[in-house]
Amino acid sequence: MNAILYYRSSLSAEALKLKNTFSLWLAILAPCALVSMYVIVFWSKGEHFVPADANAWHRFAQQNFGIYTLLLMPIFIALLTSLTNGIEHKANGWKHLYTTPLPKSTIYIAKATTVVGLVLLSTVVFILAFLAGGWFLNLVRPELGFGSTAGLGLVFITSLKLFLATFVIIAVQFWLSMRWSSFALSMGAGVVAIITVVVGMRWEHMHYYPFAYPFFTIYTFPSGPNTATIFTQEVLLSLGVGLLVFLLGYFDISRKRIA
Amino acid sequence: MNPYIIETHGLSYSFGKRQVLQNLELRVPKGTIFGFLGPNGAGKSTTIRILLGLLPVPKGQVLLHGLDLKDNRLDILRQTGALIEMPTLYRHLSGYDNLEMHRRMVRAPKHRIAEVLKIVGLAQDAHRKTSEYSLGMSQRLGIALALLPDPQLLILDEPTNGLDPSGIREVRELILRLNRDLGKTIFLSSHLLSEIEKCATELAIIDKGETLYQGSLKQLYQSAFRTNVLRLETNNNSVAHKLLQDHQYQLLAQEADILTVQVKEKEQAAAINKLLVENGISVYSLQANSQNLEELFLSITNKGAITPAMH
Repeated sequence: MNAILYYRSSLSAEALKLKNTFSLWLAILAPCALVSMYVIVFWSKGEHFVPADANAWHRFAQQNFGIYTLLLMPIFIALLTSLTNGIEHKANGWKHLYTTPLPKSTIYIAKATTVVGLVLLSTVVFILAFLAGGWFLNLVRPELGFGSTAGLGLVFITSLKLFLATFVIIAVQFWLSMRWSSFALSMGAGVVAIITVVVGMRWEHMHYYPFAYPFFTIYTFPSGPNTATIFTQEVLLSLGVGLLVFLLGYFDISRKRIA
Repeated sequence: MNPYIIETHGLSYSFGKRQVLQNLELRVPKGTIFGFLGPNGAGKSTTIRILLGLLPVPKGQVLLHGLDLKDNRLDILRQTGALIEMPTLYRHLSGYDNLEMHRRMVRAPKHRIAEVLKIVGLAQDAHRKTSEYSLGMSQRLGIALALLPDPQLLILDEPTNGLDPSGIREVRELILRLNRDLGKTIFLSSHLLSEIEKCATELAIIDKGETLYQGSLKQLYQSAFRTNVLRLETNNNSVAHKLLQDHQYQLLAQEADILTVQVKEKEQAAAINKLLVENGISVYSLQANSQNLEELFLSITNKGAITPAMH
């Protein structure tokens, strides 16, 4: 009972801390920016992306997912976590947090929830922006086929899967940015993630590599065998390994001396 | 009933091989402003971090509010407000939002925000962003944060560091008021004796992790005066010199126009003045050497313990 009370106080404080911050805006604006770029692309050159028999929503989603998983997401999550934890580093806030009458574990879980929540928020914003983009494309290019809503369910499921598949990346970046105040470290890890995934894409064991989970989640979209299953191997691995990293991160952080 | 709000027993701490605290024995009586004095690097900050549970207690025992810190960290923190050097302020938020956030964490009632803002005199500026605050205002907001849960004990680590004279004065007056009007016990660390002597009633002086003096400020003054000297300027120094020697006063090496006399207590200063005036000598100036406490502090921290009056 107490634990829930502690958690609620801590989480509501964390939520207020995000007010007027760039990380909150980033979570909202990044998916909008991505979708609007593809809106422009489909508006001007839609006919190249949607062949006669293809589902327009799926093709639109495929483009967005591709760029998102390969290039944007590792950087995006690195930015989001290091900005969020950077609030604390910048304010010299750790000593203050740990002298509040809250268990260290509560503080850690509340912070982790905030970061995971921000990624979830951006996933929701992505879906909304995606729908708005498709609706707009239907106005300006009705012949592309955005008028029918068939197949949208698959896009929602895949977005959810993508979010779950990033869990492990959030966990790693969260630990890095909590442990060290360096922004460059988080970004560096993000860039390394991109390069290793791009280089190792065809390696047969690549689907075990945590930074590649999101990529393998959308790899076969929209026609692969597991596209409609939520808990695929990548998603389960991401949740399992992510939870492990969050736990190990906690043991590391809780032992750290606050100087 | 336990008269002490903070007690440490044989507290030792080391960073790797470097011993930072050695058998520190602190006794902070309830209701006092307790000065915790020592030069930079004496172990003050380490002690404070241990008191607040930021560093583990490896050896010795620490009791706050009569509770052992090892088993009661959260209960102790609930009754303790702290300001460690620069306050933790989220600069992108207003003073009010900073307080609101802390209020949520310590679960204080909402009306406390207005109360603490009034206490520290920031009610007017509450809705400005803290990035616009002066250092003194920031420090006062830091104290307001510490006051939110209405704690019995405030632990302030160098709260006047980096402030200009008016900022120092604002914070000092606030500390005095918190003690006098609200009955808070205040544990105040500083490397400046002049700061401590203006508000503290009790103090401990530490250096290199050891307690060199602990007791009341009054006692320290008395022991300081014992080693004190009086500087005299008169219209006839040679007559005065002879007169004082005849009355068994101990004169120190003479400067050009100034007589320097060793005195043991304040009353002697008055007696000397009377003696000279009654013998027809005009006294132009008579001053107790103003270096007293500062010099005492230096001599204590340089040479080691003098009269360690533990009680």
